[in-house]
Amino acid sequence: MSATPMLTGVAAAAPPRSPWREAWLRLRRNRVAVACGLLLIGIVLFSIAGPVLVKATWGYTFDSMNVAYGAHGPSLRHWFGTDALGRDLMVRVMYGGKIALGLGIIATAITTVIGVIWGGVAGYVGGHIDNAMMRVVDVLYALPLLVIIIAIQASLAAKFKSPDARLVLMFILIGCLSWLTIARIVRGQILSLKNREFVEAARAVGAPGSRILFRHLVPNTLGPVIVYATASIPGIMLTEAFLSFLGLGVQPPRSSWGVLISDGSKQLLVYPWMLIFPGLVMALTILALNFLGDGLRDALDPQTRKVG
Amino acid sequence: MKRLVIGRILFAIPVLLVVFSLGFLLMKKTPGGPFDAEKRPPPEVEKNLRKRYHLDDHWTKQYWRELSGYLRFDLGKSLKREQSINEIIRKAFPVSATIGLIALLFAVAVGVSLGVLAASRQNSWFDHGAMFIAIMAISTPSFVLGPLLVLVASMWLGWLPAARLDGASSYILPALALGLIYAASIARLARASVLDVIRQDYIRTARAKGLSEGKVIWKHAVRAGLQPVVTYLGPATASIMTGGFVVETIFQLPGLGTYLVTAAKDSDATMVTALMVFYASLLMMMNLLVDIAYGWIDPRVRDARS
Repeated sequence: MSATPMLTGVAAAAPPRSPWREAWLRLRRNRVAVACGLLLIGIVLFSIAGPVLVKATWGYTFDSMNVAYGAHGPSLRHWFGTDALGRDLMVRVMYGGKIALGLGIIATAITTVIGVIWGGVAGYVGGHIDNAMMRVVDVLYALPLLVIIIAIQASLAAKFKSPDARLVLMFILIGCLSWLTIARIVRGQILSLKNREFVEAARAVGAPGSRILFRHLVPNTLGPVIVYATASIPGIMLTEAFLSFLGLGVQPPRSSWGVLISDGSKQLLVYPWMLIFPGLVMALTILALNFLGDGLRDALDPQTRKVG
Repeated sequence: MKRLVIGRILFAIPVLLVVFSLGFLLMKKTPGGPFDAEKRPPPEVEKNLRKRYHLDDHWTKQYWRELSGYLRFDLGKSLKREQSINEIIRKAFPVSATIGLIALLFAVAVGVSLGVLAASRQNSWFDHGAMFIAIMAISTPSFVLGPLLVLVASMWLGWLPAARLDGASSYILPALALGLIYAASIARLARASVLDVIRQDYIRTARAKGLSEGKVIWKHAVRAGLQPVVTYLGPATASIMTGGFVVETIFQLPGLGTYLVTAAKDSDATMVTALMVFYASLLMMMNLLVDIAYGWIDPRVRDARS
């Protein structure tokens, strides 16, 4: 990426920096955001490398049962304790983390792609098409999406018996229904950008509309899109956990944070660790994502930064 | 105002039709009917049941039958429970609405006062402490918070785990579990927008007139600072009502959410469709109320509309 030319005499002395590098430097100065980024990396490692390490050390996986050692509290062998069937809770939390992170990435990617294309086309083309496309968004906004997700999940459960297929479908479903806000943000950005000189320049050299939209306009909206996408991951993870909690998401013997929290809350008064560990890991993940999202907003979009 | 209401009602009709059709399609087109339990009824019984609910009619006929019922505000009969859906909603909705309302009031009261107090003492320990607690609360999902509240209440305060519905007190824990996350969001929003407002000229004027700091904050800054909160209340009310599912499940309350989840699991087609339509109407009504309230708080919006 070419550096932005510096026009002021004061800045001329400093080496030119790209806006992305500026943002990165701002982000790095935000200690809370850095700490949360590190925490997130830790949670990713915990979820991905963790099961491998546990298997190598103690030899069990998320579904190896040991009924004789069921419902034991935290110990040296089972750091998070075991569940009623004697499965190691830490591995199950790790496995749930893998699902939550996979979902966070896949659903957010789907959301972002649909939202950027929808909002971008609506904003760039304008007129009746814009009107019609935004009406669709309005209609979807007026729907109780969670209720619809529950209904679709339940009807899919009857159609698809394979748990893998259902898992993938849930990812896609959540992704396909969460793109509305991104579409609105991108449309607003495109509207404010499309009459600027660089767009006219591109048009003057004969670039086709699709090229102007996706090569010139969309890259300029990436800041807000990244900020919003990060901010929407916690909501997406919560939807999964929520569905699994209600028994409409990830199915046992597989584990997810929602499944574990649901199991744990049933035996809360007797075996509190079964709720506390998965709940804690999930809350920490969401906390880290929230702070990181705030940090990204401040770094990428300094104008909207709240003073103080 | 009148135009707003009429416009919204006209908008609601196609939306509700879409929701109804979606629900109908989803539930009718799935294999595995409502009577596929582990214990299947004998064939004759099933035949009679199917006949009674008109399940063997052509789907267009079923569609019209149900739709014309909806036009008369008759949502039909649950396939699983021997009850009319209207009656179920009449019984279950007050439970959900009570929890939602307490949660909402709690969220607004706590959220606004914490946010405004934090803003008026910007960067004090109170501000930092309140905002830290707020972000912790935002990160704790209601289905973790609910059971934890039960744990605390039963272990430290000696209350019984608040299952079952007996008396007003059993609404408090669920409402708290549901409302806390919104209280925290409102507190953050209110703080940020009051801070924005505090720097404006008319606040300086109010101070220059010699008004007390309390009056400046609570009479001038809060009114403007409430606007983002009101905007947020629309989606928040909606998700408080849909978020009620979890809380109702945890505390085993016979609210609408519990019925929806059971109906979805049992593929109780008529019930799921009816509840989808009901929730959609509720959501649109809430959004309309919020828009009216918004015009009432901000005269600029009201004038732009008329």
